[in-house]
Amino acid sequence: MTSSTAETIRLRVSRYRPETDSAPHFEEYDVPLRKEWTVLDGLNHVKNEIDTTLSFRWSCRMGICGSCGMTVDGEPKLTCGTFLSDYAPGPVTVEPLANFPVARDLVVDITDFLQKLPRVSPWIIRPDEHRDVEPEVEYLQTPGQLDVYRQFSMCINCMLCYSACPVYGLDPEFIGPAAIALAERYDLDSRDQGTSQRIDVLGAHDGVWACTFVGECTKVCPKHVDPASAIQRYKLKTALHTVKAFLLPRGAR
Amino acid sequence: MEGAAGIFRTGPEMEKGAETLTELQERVGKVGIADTSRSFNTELLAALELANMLDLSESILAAGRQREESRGAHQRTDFPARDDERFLTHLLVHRNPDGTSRIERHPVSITRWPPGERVYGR
Repeated sequence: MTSSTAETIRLRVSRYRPETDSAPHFEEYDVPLRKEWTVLDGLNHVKNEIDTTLSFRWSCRMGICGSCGMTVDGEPKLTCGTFLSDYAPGPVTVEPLANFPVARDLVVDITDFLQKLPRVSPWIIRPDEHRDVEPEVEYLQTPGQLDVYRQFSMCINCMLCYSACPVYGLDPEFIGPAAIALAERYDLDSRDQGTSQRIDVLGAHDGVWACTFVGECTKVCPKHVDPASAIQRYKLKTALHTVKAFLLPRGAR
Repeated sequence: MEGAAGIFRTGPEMEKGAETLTELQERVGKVGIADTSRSFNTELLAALELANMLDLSESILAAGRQREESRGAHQRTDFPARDDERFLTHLLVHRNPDGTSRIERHPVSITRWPPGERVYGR
C-alpha cells in the first residue's frame, strides 16, 4: 500500500497578502485525511509540504495557548481541537476569525482586544497600603472560594467569542465577552477588592449594556467559560450599584 | 541535540553531535525562503529561529564538553561525580571575530543558599 492510495481531504484556505492582494481569495490544497489529524495538522502539512508561504498562528497544539482560532466551515474554532474527519469528505473551508482585521492569510489583528482587556483591571486589586510592600503577605483562599470564580478563570484569550458575537461585529466599541468574563473572574475572587473600579468601566455605554444576550459567546467557547452569564450577572451588579448610588449615602455603598 | 546532549550525555556523543552541527551550520547558510512578504512571514521567522537554535546548540555542546562533571540537568555518565573544585563556575560562550566560539569562566556569586551535593531519597 503506497501513500498515493491514502484518503485525502481538500482544504479551501483563505489567502490574503496585504502588499499584493486587493481582497482575500481562496486556494485549495489536498491533505491526508487521517483520523487523528486536526485542521491545524492539515494546515501544517500545507506549510511543510505544499506551500511554505501560508501564514497562520499556532503554538501548543493542545487547546491551551489560544492562538490557532480560525473560522472552519463558517464557525469559529480552535483548529487544534477540530478534526478533519468530522468534515469528510470535505472540502473544509478555513478562513480567519470574523470581526477582526486580517493581517495576512489566516492571521488576524487583535490589537483592539489587547487595548480593551486592561481597561477591566484583570488582576487582584487590594487597598493602597499593600501595593508597595514586599510580596510577603499571602492572601489565603479556600477550595470553596476558588470554585466561585474557577470557571471564569479558564479563558485562554482565543478570541472565538469576539468572532462569534454579532454585537461586537456591529459595534466595535463593545468591550466584549472575554473582557467581561475576566472582570467577573476577579470580582468573584475572595482576595480581590476592585469591583468598584471595574463597575465604572463595565457600566458605561460600551460595557455590559451593549450586549443583547445572543449567547453565541458561550456556545463557541472551547474552554466552557460562560461569558453570557458573566455579562448578565454584571448587568444586575451595575443596576444595583446605580440604585444604591441614588438611595444610600456614599459610605454605605 | 536530544541524542547528543540530552540530560544524560557523554564526551564522545557530544563530539559526534558537534560534527553534525558543523554540517547543519553550513546548510543553514544556504536555506531558501519562498515567502517574500513583509507581513507575518512565518517562513522567514522559522529560518531565523533555526539559525539561532544552531548557535545555541553550539554553545550547549562546547560548554557541555568542557564541563567534565555531573551537575543538575547536565549528567555526564562518563563523569558521574560533581566536581566543585574544577567546575563551581559559570561557563560563558562568546563568539570570536572569525565566527568560532570561545569559553570564558565567570565566578558564581553565592548568596543565601551555599552550593551542596543534591541527594534524593537517601
